[in-house]
Amino acid sequence: MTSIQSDTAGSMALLGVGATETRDGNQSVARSASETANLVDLWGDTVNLRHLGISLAVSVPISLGTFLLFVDIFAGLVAQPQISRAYAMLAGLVACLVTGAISARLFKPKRVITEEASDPVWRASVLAELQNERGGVGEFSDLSEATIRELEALGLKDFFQNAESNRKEGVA
Amino acid sequence: VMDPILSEILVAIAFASLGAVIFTIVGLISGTDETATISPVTLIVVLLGAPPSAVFAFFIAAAMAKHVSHAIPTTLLGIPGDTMAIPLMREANLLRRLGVPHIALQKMVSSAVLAALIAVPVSVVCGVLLTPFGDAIKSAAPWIFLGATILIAYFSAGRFAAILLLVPFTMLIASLQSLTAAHGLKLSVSFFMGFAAGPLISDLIRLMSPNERQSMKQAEFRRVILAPDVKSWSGYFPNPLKVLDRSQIAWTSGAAAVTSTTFVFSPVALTVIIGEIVGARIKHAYHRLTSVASVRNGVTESTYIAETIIPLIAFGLPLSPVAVGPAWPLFNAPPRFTIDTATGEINNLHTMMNVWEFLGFGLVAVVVAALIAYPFAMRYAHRAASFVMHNISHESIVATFIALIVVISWWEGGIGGVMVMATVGVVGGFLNRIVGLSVGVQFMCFYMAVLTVPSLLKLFGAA
Repeated sequence: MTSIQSDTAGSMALLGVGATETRDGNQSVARSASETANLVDLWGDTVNLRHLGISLAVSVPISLGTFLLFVDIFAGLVAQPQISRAYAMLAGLVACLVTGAISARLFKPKRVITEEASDPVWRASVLAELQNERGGVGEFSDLSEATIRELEALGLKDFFQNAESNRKEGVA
Repeated sequence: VMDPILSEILVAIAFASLGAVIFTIVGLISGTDETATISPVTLIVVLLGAPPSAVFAFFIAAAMAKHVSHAIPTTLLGIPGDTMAIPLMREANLLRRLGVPHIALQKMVSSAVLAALIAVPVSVVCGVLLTPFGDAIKSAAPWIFLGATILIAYFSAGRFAAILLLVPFTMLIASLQSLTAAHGLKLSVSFFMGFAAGPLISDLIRLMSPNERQSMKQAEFRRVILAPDVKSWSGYFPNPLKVLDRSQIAWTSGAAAVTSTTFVFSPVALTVIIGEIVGARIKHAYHRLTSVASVRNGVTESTYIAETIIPLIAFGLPLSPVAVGPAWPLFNAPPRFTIDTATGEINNLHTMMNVWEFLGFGLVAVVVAALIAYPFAMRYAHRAASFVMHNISHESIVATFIALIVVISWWEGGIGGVMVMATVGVVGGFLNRIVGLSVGVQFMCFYMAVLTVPSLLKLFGAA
């Protein structure tokens, strides 16, 4: 695993704030207690409870209020009640998106994003996993010309070839 | 004066483009379930009065584009883009750890385009072949829904628990229906919103209980590893048929054709099973990974397209997991599209479009979605994934979604609609989380409540 420091540098560089943030190195990844105090895992990602509460308190009443307001406005403008209510719902949907965008501006994601290529340790762990699956890693003689060219272009040909010869030596 | 056929085609192209653009973007946001996102937006398109062919083209393009761009978070971030991306995770992660996530992405989006082009004509033919049995199936609908629901429940995570839970959950829906009907409310959309949002609603309730909140606590921000950007072709974007090798084209096409006929099975289950079948026949591990990734993402397209088109052409009743899930507004979106359970009268795309229109507009939608989503996924995947991860907080997604379901439920039934949505959301959400009563099974329970329960009571109700 690469160091935490360089992870942060990578993600901060993406944010365009590299110079100021990376100066204090690993200080910046150890977030202040207030930042991590209210974190929970909800519906597949991490949120701050207080931020979530505010976002909901903004989005739900404003969106519903917009819908109800436009029900009244369109009722006077559009003859067919079904169509006018559908337009009001569209207005409500726009309000959902606008208030969602406001939440996104107010509260940044609770994620640390690292940009990272695979390293040799990762690759070796893949090989171990592939060997254990049904059918194993298989042999180069099973591959078509096209796939061998593909592996060569990706720089993976030697990786799989070495794995194969190591395995055969191990058996012999 | 424009030729009416030409203008209808242009309107359909416009709606297909709209669906493709919106859902190429939604597909980037990981965890955006298809039913929860595609169905409410399709409902709005229906209710605003778009022509039937445009509604159909919108839905097909939306579903196709989402299953192209869902490959972006899946391959580059290792986070499933949506429900259908879950079976893609293993191959995506192994290829990512080998250092070639861009290959996983390219193979997946190329096979999506290929599979979708095959699925439209095959499923239209399948729908036509089933049409002669349509009337028999419609008149036996209460019992067919019963059988199909038991089958879907058996194959869900809950297995026998899910089958047993069909009774109380269906009765809950039936009683809410008669309660609201007593006050002049005829609800369906509010139920569907509740099923789709159930997992989120139950999570929000857990947050409010001190005990459960402790178990959901996180000490740190979530760590996400984004794969670096690699462009491995020359020109604007690569030819999908050159990204896949000959055997991958053959496997993807074959799998797409087969899964365009098996419309009663769960798309997730089919994606898993077909991947296993193909994987078992490929000897080298690298080729197996890329082939299974291709075939599986192709199947996410073909199942969605077939499970929408076949029931639309043959029955007009939502008799497939996709038709009762993401595609429900094409079947039952009162007041515009209706299924009268008392008289059996159907008034939806089934009665408004003919076979040639389903074929033509289906192909138009697939081509439009491919022209928008494929080049985008090929060229901007890395930048788009990075932008979403850095700028779209989960708080804003949750708030937008909760506001959306509240507005739509209120639109249908005022405070009654919202209370029904919340009730089935809480109950369904916890039953899903604890015993695996899946969202698809919950949708089937709705149709059992309106079709099967009255027939059962008529047959066996007298003491």
